[in-house]
Amino acid sequence: MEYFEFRNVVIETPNSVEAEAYRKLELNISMMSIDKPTQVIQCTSAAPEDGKTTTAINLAAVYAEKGKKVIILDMDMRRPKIHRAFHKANDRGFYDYITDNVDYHELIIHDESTIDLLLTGKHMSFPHIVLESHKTADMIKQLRTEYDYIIIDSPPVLSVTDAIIISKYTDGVVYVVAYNKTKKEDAKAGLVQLQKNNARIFGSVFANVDVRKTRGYYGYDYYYGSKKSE
Amino acid sequence: MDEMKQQETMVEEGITLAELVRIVWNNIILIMLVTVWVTVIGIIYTFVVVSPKYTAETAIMVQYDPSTIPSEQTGISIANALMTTYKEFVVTDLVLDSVISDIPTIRDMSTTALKNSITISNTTGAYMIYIEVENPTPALAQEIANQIVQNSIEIANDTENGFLFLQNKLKQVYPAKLPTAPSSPNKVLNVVISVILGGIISLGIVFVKELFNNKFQTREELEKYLNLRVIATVPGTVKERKLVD
Repeated sequence: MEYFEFRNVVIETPNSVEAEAYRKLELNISMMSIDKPTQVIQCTSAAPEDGKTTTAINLAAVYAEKGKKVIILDMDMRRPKIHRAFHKANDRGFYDYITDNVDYHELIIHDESTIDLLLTGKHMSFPHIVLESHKTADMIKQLRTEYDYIIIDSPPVLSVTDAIIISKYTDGVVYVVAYNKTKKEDAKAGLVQLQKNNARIFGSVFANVDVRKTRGYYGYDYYYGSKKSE
Repeated sequence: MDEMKQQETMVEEGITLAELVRIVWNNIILIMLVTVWVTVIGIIYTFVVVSPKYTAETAIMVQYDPSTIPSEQTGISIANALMTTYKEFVVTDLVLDSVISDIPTIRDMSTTALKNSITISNTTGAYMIYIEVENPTPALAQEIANQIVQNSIEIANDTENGFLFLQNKLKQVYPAKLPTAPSSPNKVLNVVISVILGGIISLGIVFVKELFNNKFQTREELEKYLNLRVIATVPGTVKERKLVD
């Protein structure tokens, strides 16, 4: 089976335009958090492979770069990917906390990038039930006291109910839409589901934009975006 | 308020035009490929598939004896009537069948096919009728043109037939010459048409493709459709991502 390698541009190429885009994402989130502080951020999208994981790891890297204490929770129990992004083995994680009552502190991986990770561990049946449990809620509540930022990588909204359940624990959702890939009606349907469940949506990340095809527009967007955030 | 509305409309129009340019620019390779293909097909059709045709031209003059006409006005209307009648008469089966039977090489040709290869024309003010015959063989085009004129005059003049109206009023002005260069296909015109047609077809394909494209192409499109602010635009293409096992 073929997998895409997840690039953490903020760490690998900190001066790139891509890295700058994620810094702008962080800036925009912080601007929206003046009156309502943000600590737990969920990255989701309508369909798979739109760029949720890439957004999650890069956003976390921006917080780490700023010296914030940040953890990524892989809550995509069905298709976990965070371990691949950080080249770790997914042998222990959330599963052990839920089923074997292992202290989650022991399960947290401290990556050299200073980003902490909590992987999924073994495959779990009925993830939606697990996600709705008090144990999950308690863990996130506890993590809020230990970390500045908690980034949650969640499954796509349209595939399973998991993303909606997770949104209840978060302070805001970053909705990833892939350029020339996400179908308009899917993106709309996913967004409506989140909105119906009263999720706070920061905005969308337009991922994988082919700059060559949108050259003039990109410059305009960038300027426009900066103006807006000022 | 009105001013604001007007401004909004102007912005809308601006985006639409820019969108069109973007669509064309993004599909420029497709447009060029389709155009080149259609042009190549046009060139092959013009230079290989279509056999060249030659046109032989002759002219016939309509005349009457002025002494038999009471006034000039009557003369003009008679001449006009003669012109119209001859133009119809020359392509009747009576004339064409006689031409087919007189030229052995076109025995198998149908009257309709022969009729389709003939073009009759005239210029205003002149009592001349031009007869053009198109044929893949130059000599045959010339022969048919001359035979048509000859036979039509003979039939018209034949007292036994009783066609009094056209009798002794027709005269061949000059015989058809042997055409040296093919009259069709018009190579330059065909190539130009192929290029234009290719451009139109390719643009059509591109716009239909865009019409059915239900994916987000620009940030504006996304913001408008989802009514959601884009807080980051991340460049990159899927191709750039490395594949790992």
